[in-house]
Amino acid sequence: MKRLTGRSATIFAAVLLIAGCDRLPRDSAGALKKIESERQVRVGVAEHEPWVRWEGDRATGLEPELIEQWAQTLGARIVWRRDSVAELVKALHRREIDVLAAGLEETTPYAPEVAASQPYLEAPDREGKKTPRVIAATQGESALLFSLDRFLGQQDEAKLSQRLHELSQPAP
Amino acid sequence: MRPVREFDLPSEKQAVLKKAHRLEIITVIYICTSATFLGLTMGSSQAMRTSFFEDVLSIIPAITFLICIRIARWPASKNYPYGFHGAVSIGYLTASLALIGMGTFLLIEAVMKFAAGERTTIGGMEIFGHTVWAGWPMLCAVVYTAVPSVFLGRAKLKLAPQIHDKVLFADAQMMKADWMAETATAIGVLGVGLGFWWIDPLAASLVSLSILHDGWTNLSAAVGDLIERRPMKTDRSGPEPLPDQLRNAMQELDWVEDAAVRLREIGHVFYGEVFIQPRASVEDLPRRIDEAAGKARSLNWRIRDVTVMAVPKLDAESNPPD
Repeated sequence: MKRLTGRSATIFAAVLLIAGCDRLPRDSAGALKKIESERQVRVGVAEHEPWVRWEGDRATGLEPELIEQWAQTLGARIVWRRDSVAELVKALHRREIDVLAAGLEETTPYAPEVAASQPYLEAPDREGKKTPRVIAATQGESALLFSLDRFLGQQDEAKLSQRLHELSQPAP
Repeated sequence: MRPVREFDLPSEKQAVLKKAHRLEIITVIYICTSATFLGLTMGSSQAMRTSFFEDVLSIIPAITFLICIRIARWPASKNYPYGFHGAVSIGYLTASLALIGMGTFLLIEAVMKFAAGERTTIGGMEIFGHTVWAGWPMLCAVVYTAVPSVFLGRAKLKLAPQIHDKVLFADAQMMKADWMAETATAIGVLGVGLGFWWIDPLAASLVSLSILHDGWTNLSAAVGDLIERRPMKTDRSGPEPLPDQLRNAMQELDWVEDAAVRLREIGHVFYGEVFIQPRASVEDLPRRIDEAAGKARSLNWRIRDVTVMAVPKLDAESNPPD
């Protein structure tokens, strides 16, 4: 009996710990909460074939596709903003956008100014060297970044690779 | 040149040395594993980064100890008539300089990142196909680094004064600084998790300051040794009583009117001079002086060699008050 109580106490403690885990991390300025309450994600896109393309009035390409799916899980629609990477990094810093898609490499020189996601795919760069690719988020917003990271972690890298290959083919 | 005699630690001290040696080997292996763990999990946290470097650095005193005790026991030779005890002082100086350099570097880095408005963000990390918040593996690494440091540090702190090893003492102190720094890092990581991004650079700065403080106290002790300051106790709690004991032992000799000593510390041991004012009617002075030197050496294992010199008169300046 005593042993059973001990065991249930351990389980109880573990459950508490796991429940506690769910509450971390939090944002420093509540970016994720804002996305969920306003039901919109502000996404900066800089054209970079085949990761990011601009067609008409919306972004396409691998990263915008991924971001659209992620926004869906949050029940939010997307407001696109098209600009150069340098301008968008500044906008990210000013909190005018939440995430930035530009086919960034993990070793991007912009790394100190953004919160980079975990690499979601390894793909060859211009010199053909395989480099991990990341999506950027606003710095200091750990819950936002974690939400994005968790979504990217669920993706099948082989399928993404395949999709990237399709997108790389010239349109008929 | 005439080298000093062969020398070895007394047997009970050898056992202590062996224990210290074993502890330091465990430390080196353990730091290798903990640094790898920290390196793999550090991500973008400045406090984690500082902690990683602090951990890598903390291997220096351990390695210095392992190298120096080996070198210090090489026998004296014609070219190195005083033996190799000085190696310990050099190792000690090097270790303290490394601490100061790294402390300064990390402090500047933390302040500059803070000033540039970089905000630490800790997102997810994929472990076995599962994305968890990267703060959790970081905290695991921090605990793994901190907890054994407490025990290793305490054990070394006990051994160091027994074999009068300053490098070992510095290492024990460093281990204490290590777990305190890890606690600050853990607070930094949790702070970021709770949405207070500024706690991370703050914790990093505090850790850098603790590294700098360690470096400074050790540097001043090392420089003091090299300038051959009055010997101090291994735990730096005050002047070493051995010079006074030596003087008393010399004054107790029946042919001695008065005596004065001057000792300098090199590594674990002392070299120095004994000045003796003999009583008026002393015969066979060279033999008596040689016996006095033998008595001095047998007083304590740390007195490696002394030169005994007869002087006509010792004045007040020979034994200045404290």
